[in-house]
Amino acid sequence: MKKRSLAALLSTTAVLLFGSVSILSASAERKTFTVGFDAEFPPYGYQNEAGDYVGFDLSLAQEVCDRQSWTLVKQPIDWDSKDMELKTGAIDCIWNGFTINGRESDYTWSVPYVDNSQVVIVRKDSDISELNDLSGKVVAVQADSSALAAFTGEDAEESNQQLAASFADLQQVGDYNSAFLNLESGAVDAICMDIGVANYEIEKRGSQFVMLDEHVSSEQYGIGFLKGNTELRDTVQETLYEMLDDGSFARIADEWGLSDSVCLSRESEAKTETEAKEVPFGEKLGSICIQLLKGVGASLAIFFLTLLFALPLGLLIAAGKMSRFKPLSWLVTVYISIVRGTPLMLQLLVVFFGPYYIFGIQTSAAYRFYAVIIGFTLNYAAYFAEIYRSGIQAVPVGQHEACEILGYSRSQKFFKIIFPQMVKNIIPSITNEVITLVKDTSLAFAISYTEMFTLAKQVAAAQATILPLFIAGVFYYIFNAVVAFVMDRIEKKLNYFR
Amino acid sequence: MNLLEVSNIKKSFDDLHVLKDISLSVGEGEVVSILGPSGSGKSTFLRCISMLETIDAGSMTYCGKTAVREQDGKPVYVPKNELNEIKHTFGLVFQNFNLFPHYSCTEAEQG
Repeated sequence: MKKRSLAALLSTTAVLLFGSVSILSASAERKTFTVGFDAEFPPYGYQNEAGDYVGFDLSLAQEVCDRQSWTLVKQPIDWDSKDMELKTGAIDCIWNGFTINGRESDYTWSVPYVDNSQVVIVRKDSDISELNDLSGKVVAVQADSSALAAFTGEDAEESNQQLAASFADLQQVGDYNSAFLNLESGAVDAICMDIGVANYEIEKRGSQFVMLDEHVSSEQYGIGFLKGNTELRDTVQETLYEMLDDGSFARIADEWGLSDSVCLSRESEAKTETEAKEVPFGEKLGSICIQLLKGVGASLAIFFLTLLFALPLGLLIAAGKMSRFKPLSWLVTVYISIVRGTPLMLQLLVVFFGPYYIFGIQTSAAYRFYAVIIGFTLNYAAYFAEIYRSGIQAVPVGQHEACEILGYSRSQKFFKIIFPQMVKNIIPSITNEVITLVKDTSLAFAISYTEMFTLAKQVAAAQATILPLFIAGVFYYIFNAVVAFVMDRIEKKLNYFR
Repeated sequence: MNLLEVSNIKKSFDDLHVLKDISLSVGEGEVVSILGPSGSGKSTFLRCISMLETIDAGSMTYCGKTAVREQDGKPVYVPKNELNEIKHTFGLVFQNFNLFPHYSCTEAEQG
């Protein structure tokens, strides 16, 4: 590598490191308010047709922010990593149909603002008409939801616990769209979920689903802040009271059809009378494609940046592994073994939540993107290193001897003779890894980084259709076809006569 | 001045003594052929004088420049940069060619 480009690479790395450290330090005066929410939980928090995150809770949050001159940051999260997101400071609160019951001592809560029930949804043609019919059936709940707690939590009612014990299986899913796909396909027999979301889903998906009359439990929603963060809670709560006094709260509740915040079930009667609008297929397809395109940029960013950093880093790691300095070689071997031996998703979680849980450093929302790139780069560099090593060791020893005779220096030999031959050897393996990377970009959802696949799941949930998932598949296929074509051209170009 | 002068070279691979005290000089314009049965040490000798192997004893001089000299019964090679200078005075044609496959003839010649 020429000295100038090495210096440029080192200084870019230094800038990136210093930049990320400055983002990690907390800001003194509050300018933004980050709300963590499940983006597949309508009508409290979800994605509308225009691709914006909307919902009753988000509207309330926006009103609070306007009055406090804060900028609202809507941060979709994986529901079962909500606690980690809150603890590390990536979000300021959890505000999304968040049930207080059973979690009273885990958070600093606002006052309850919505009365809610856990209800059961079944297929219309099923033989389940009351709760006891669920015995021997497969029931789905969202991971770490209050529906789950209603059946298996410490404070769960006796009758519910016994009922749950009689289920064939109590399955946990990541989001409600998956739950409905399961229900529709017959993989599960019932879903237990919040009544507000249930009403929305039934209206959207049509009359093939019904809600049982019996409720599993009653509970209330609140806004969850990090335990001990009473200052922020009080500020937000005061603002909510102001909104209640001047009627804004009631107005927003009315906008979302949740006027009777005491009991949401009354709204559902009015809602089920309206017909779901039929959107022509072509129009639907077009709007979904446009929504997904927003995520394509994020996926591409992960792809190109990972390659940019991992390809050279892999070469360094390969050199370390082949080094004659035994401690270095051993260290590199252990690193490669761990990185290749554990799931990339797990590594992303470690990189993102590690600074807090291992070192006690609070991170910020901006760290999310860096964590994705760091995690992907470290992972793919290990795979590339082994590919490079195999390519280098496949160059015949006679080439090395010819260089000896001709008096080549070690770097001359490597860059002029060995490296070009190594490249030709490894193109097929590199192509495999690059194609895998295209698809692996979807793993960024593990730390709630919204790339195209996560977006597809959210759109699918919001619009109650699997079409976005299918379109996402097509996008990936096209992307990979381009990659395969490019790699094929490179391979042909390197096909000199041997 | 002789193109090549080797004196009393010895070369062993573990317990196998291949070269046992070889001396040779090649003058300018001379063509020297070395004949022998399989395993007699022809390739080993060639690899030693082209410095692909190190010798266990003896000395070698190329066009008057010493590459290895005997010192206290052990062969001592001159520093790397001097060796590189010496390498420019000779070449080796390999049995299996060992051509650079990604270079054209012209590029290989220039490289």
